Amino acid sequence: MKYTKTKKNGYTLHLIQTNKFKTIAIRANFRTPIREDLLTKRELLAGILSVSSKNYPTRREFVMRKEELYQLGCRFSSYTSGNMLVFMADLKFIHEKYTEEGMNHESLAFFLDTLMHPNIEKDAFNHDVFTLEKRNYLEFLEGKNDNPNRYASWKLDTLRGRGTPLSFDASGEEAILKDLDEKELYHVYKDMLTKDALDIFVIGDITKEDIEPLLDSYFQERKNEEEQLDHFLPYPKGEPITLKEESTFTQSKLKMGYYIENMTPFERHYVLRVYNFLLGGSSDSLLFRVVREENSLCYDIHSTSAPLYDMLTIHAGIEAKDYEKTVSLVQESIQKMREGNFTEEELEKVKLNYKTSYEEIVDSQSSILGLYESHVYLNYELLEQRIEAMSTVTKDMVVSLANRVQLDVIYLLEGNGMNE
Amino acid sequence: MNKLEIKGLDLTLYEERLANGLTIYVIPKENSKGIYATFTTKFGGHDIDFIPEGKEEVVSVPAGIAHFLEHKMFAQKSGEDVMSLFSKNGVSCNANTSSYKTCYLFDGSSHFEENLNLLLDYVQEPYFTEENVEKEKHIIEQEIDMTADNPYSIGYFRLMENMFVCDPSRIRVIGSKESVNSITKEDLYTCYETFYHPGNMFLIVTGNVDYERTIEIVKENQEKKKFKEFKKPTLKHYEEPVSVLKKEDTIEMNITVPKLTLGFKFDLKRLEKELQFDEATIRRYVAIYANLKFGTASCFLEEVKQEELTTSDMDYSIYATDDILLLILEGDSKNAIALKNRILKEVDNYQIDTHSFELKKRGMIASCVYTSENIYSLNQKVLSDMISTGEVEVAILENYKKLNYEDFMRVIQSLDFTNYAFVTVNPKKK
Repeated sequence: MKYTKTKKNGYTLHLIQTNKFKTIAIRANFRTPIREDLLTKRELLAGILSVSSKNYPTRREFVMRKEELYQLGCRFSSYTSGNMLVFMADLKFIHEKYTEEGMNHESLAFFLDTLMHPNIEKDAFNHDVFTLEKRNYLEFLEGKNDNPNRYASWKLDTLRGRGTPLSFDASGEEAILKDLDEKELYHVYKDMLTKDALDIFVIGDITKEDIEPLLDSYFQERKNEEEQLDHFLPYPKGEPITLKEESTFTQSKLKMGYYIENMTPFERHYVLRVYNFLLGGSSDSLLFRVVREENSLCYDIHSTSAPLYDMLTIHAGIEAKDYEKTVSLVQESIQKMREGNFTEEELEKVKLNYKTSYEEIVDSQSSILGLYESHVYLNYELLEQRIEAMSTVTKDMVVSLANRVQLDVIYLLEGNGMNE
Repeated sequence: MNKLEIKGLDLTLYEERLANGLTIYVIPKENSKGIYATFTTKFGGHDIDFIPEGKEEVVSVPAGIAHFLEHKMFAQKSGEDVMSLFSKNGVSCNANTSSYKTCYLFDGSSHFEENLNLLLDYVQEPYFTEENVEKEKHIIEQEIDMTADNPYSIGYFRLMENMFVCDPSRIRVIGSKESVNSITKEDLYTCYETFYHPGNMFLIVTGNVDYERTIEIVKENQEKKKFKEFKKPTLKHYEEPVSVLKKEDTIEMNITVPKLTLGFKFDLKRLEKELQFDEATIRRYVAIYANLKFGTASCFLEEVKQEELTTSDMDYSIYATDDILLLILEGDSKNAIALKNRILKEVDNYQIDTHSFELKKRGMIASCVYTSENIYSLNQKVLSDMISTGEVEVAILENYKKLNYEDFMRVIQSLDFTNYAFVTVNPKKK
């Protein structure tokens, strides 16, 4: 596997050459500092670009063309990453060695045309496609609170986000969407193309000469911003919050939000992961053992860490009557971690699990892309250094971090045991 | 040992049947790092009426027992935690149950030999006690509650209940709270003794492994253990009528946009006989049909979106028993009944052009290449072949290439679309 980075006029090319796969994958990322209204607008933009282009204007024609290109995968999406909003254009196709000659070029051209020559008429997105996709998205937003888990997670984030981008609803806002028309969306698109930082990651059995001239022909007109974009969002501390909300859902969803004080980059990337794995990140974690196996209080309990926000979340699906018992068992578990109530053997186990999963990153093109993205955007080490760094985590480091884990928000979406 | 080339995909399948009846499949993928191993019994949520090992009469066990047993396989007499043992070796483990199988697995390349032995050992050493069985009940109740707020799942479960008259496909794999609470330690042992004999199980390993060594490890492991002589489990056969139990049903839930679930019930035995095709071929043509008619590139979807009958894409799935084939469509619609009527009108329209058919076929052939790249998809493919037909389809690429428009039209013209049931999930009236 050979990685080369080339700064071009309109974009930065990251080429990862390997002949291990029968497919070629490309990911173009447009990054910009987050703005609340953009979440909704770019989500719709992603929806529209995923189903039509100038050459293949309707969804039907678009999908049939993808089938013609041997089930080519082409997807656009928008997601938040700390302070940044990333618009991701993804392509995956079968190398022409396994289909027919000329397919590499045709597949790439289809993808780049979709991105750069969308279905535009007179400085606005095509009315029909815009209307259909807007309607679809609007209906999704109307029903988004039908899912108790999504709702509870979002509620937790609004409480702990305290007005920062963490509190924005990443799935978008109905009010913003309602006001959006095809002209404005075109401006959003144009803005993105001209102002965002653009990185293009390419992985597969393909050379720089195969791809660079084609990319240049699409992007050399634009000016790529060289500025360093910082994804990290400092945790918005405030007065601790406890909130219970009644609902007519069947099961209650418990979310407990924690933050970790004064973490170093090394702690964020390695120690926090180890801590989370031990606490609730696996099916033999402390929380799984205590809350599920020993006390039979739930089926699902787990924790997730979010290094970009210095935070940790505990999720559980419980019966409302078991709320207090569950919370107190979780708090006891947090305390056990602070006291270093785990063995060196358990620690080694976690490190070995990470080592194994790091080593297997090379099996999947999308994991390899993720590896390089996190390296470029978040200064996270590449594979060998990552494995090496993880091996140096000690029990003292984990205990030290455990003592900086602070409870901030407890949120319970209370179910009443009967939805139907 | 059999060595079978998976033609056109640069893969080889090694097959070995041990003296105790266990079948082993290995697909080495030398250029991968990862290893994925699954150990499966042909016993799932569907199998609740059978003749237990050593008995002569059919007994009925509570619904959800295969899934319950799956949970309890992780209990060990030594008190050791199976998850933790795998984790110590740097890999993750899991298990899952569906209608016709229960599958135990581990995922990861570190300490392969130990993990393979561990997988065989824990699944072959049951330890059920009254206490550990009781303890599991509330956990599974919570697992049942987890899907209770999902309108798609609720609609699907109700449709299955209404489509089938006596076949246990109508009950949920997980069972109900009531059936789960009635499960006893003895029930679990009855199922275990009947279905967990190596002759009823198979092991599939895909990834960075040496096939000879893999088979050797399993052989050595199995030779140390004693098993009774294998007797193929006798399952009750259901005289499932082709007609549905209940054609129309409505559920009210706290949701915003109504959901429609519509199923067509086809007589698989009749189709196989009339068309002289096997189940896999019929299934494949029905899948192409569903995709052409109701998929993202269909004219139908374009029309109903214009008519504002739906805003999103529709999903389709296929479910089969020995005798019955279901085609199930799911969609969101503010007017679910009108959407249902449009679907019923659309199935009367047999106009499908050859070009669209050829594109779907090309897509299916391409998807074989994607599958061949991924150790999980490969393992899953062997597993589902074993469950549905009992043999691995090594000629998959050729079989896809053989699909043709004439046969396709013959199949779809034989389908009886008048035999259906549907469920709408509506918002509760405030």
